[in-house]
Amino acid sequence: MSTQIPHAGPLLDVSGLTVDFRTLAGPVRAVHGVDLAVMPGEVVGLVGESGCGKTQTCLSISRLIHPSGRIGGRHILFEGTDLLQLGEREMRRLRGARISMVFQEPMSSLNPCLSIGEQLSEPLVLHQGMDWRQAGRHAAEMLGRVGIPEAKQRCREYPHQLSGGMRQRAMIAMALICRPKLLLADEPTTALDVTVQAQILALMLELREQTGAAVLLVTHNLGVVAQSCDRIYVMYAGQVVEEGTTAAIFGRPEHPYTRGLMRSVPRLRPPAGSPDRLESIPGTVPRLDTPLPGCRFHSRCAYAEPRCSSEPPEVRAVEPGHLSRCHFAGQLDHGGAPR
Amino acid sequence: MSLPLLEMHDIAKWFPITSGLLQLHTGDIRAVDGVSLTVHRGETLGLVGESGCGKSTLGRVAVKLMEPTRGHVRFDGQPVDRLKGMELMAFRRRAQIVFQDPYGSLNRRMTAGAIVGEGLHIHRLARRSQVRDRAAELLQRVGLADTDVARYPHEFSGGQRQRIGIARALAVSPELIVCDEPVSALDVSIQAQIIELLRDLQRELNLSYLFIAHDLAVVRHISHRVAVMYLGRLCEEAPRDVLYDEPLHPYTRVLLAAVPEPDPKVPLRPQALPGEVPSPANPPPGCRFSPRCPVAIDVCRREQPQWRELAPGHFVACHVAG
Ligand SMILES: Nc1ncnc2c1ncn2[C@@H]1O[C@H](COP(=O)(O)OP(=O)(O)OP(=O)(O)O)[C@@H](O)[C@H]1O
Ligand SMILES: Nc1ncnc2c1ncn2[C@@H]1O[C@H](COP(=O)(O)OP(=O)(O)OP(=O)(O)O)[C@@H](O)[C@H]1O
Ligand code: SF4
Ligand SMILES: [Mg+2]
Ligand SMILES: [Mg+2]
Repeated sequence: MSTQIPHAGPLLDVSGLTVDFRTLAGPVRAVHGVDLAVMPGEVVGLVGESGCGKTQTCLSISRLIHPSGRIGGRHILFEGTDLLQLGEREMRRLRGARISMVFQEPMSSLNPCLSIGEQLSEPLVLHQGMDWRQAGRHAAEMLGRVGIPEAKQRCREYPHQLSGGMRQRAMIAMALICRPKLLLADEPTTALDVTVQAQILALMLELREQTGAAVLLVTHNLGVVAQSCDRIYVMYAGQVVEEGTTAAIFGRPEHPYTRGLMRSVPRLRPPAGSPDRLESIPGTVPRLDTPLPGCRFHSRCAYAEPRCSSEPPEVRAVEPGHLSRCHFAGQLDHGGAPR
Repeated sequence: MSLPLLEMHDIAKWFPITSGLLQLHTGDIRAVDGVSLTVHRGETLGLVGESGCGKSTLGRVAVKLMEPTRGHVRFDGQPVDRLKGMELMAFRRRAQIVFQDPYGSLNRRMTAGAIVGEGLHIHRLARRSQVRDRAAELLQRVGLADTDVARYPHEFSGGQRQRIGIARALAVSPELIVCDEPVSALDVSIQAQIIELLRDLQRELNLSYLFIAHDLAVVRHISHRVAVMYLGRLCEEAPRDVLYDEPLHPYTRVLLAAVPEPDPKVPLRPQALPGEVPSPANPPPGCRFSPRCPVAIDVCRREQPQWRELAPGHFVACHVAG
């Protein structure tokens, strides 16, 4: 149990976050001024186009981005402390204990030379002062809870011996084992079948009930978002373009990108007469290594007007707590039909 | 019907379990345990099932990245285990795989251009001077920029890496592609573009796909037939719409019911399967699904159900179904 005085306001408050990379081809700005908050106990969804900066946003919060990258911005407040000001040692103490992360590609973050059991036990030994035996028992129990059969035997195995979904669950077990206050979960259920997915989501919600933990959930699965998130941030090309409650984002999507995304969702039971081709947003994302004047979505937007290609839109509230980064926020449906 | 392009007959793949310092053989993980399937030219067979049930293993056996413990694979009528020399080389080009784990399957020291162009070199499909242009063109087809040829795998996002894997497989003009979760890291809009690209290429070139995925809506959209796997064996196979509209196997029904609706007004039905997750090292007797099956009867726990054809093309392994 934590002895810290619960702190009012957001658990996590990210303001003006930027991430820049040096590459051989020149600088790339992967994250371009992201503002984002997570309240204690809240499950917040982060969705958006492949490559729009979701993973880099999570990695910046835990300060784990690639060495060629630089994090900038006003602040990343976690329980009131600015993570941007913390030294590496203090950061390490937070990571795995109060903030933990499920990485998008388990193979890239599991150590191929350590058994699953050793990797699960390590944070317990490091952060909670358990001995290895005791930690090992906890590790096996946790593996069982994420639905891995014969957890004791599996603890002795190495990452390459597990299926894709088991690796992902091992990763989730590792993230949950220290009962963090904030879980950054980057595509935690993509490699899982839908019944195990439901089980993992239930486990995350259970963690929230028991410990008041909050979750920042990155996923492309809008079904998962609809079923588990309180609020949603939609990102496009390094920026947040829409923010609102789950009901608002699904019921009254305001940003043209969000609308395009919602239309592209494949249906399990397509209504009779739906077209044979899946809908998608025409065109491709702009390159991030050149400056982008105007709205970053304009070249693909069905609602764009001339000013969109030169004037960058501000974030505007369409209703309290529902924000959209579009010149025509709140008026899309009154300005004529989309072209 | 014509000869299938891929024919897998009674395939089993067991992995030995060893323990102790002496690495004594104490049992086997029966990852795949008696699966037969076919994929015709120009056809997509969707393969879905519980995670860890052996789908990737089956896919790897199909393209000869692993030898089966039992059973045999034929490609274009020829037994794959007897391929040698030029024929084996040709098979390596004709049958491609898109791996489930993009990061683990891309060489970190090679640029995206080199990764996509490698097959063109090996199989002499392009002149050295053309390889880079061809690679750039392929990257563009999967929605990346032509300038991305010069970037390294770690400089891409998860979904971008996944598309490099797809471009690599497409590069060598294959006839069969085993797609192991090829679009799981993509947002729904790019996912739609990639799926339509795969379908267009299939129509143009008569390509065949063995399409492994957990997203049942995606599988429905791309597949002609769908097979459902549970703990190393197939439990149902049917033409696409039949499987989705009239599923017969209890496991297929549980799966379809557990798909989360992309609509917050429809609450998630708690669909966790009851009972212990079974182990492939020690599969339950009788029907492998029986310990968790909501409609199991006595015989289910004793006898393995037969693979029966209950309607044309609709196969099911269940004592109760039908
Ligand atoms: N080390 C790096 N060097 C240069 N560019 C990078 C690097 N890492 C990421 N990027 C770029 O930053 C952008 C954001 O990447 P990020 O991984 O955050 O995307 P994402 O939203 O998580 O996408 P996905 O859904 O595909 O995982 C991408 O366009 C990517 O190409
Ligand atoms: N190289 C290996 N050594 C030992 N066991 C293995 C190996 N590869 C796979 N297995 C085991 O075989 C079983 C099937 O694995 P496989 O990767 O085929 O499952 P899958 O159906 O693709 O699962 P997922 O949906 O999670 O990707 C698992 O129990 C796994 O642990
Ligand atoms: S600002 Fe213009 S281009 Fe951007 S989303 Fe709004 S209408 Fe479209
Ligand atoms: Mg990502
Ligand atoms: Mg797999």
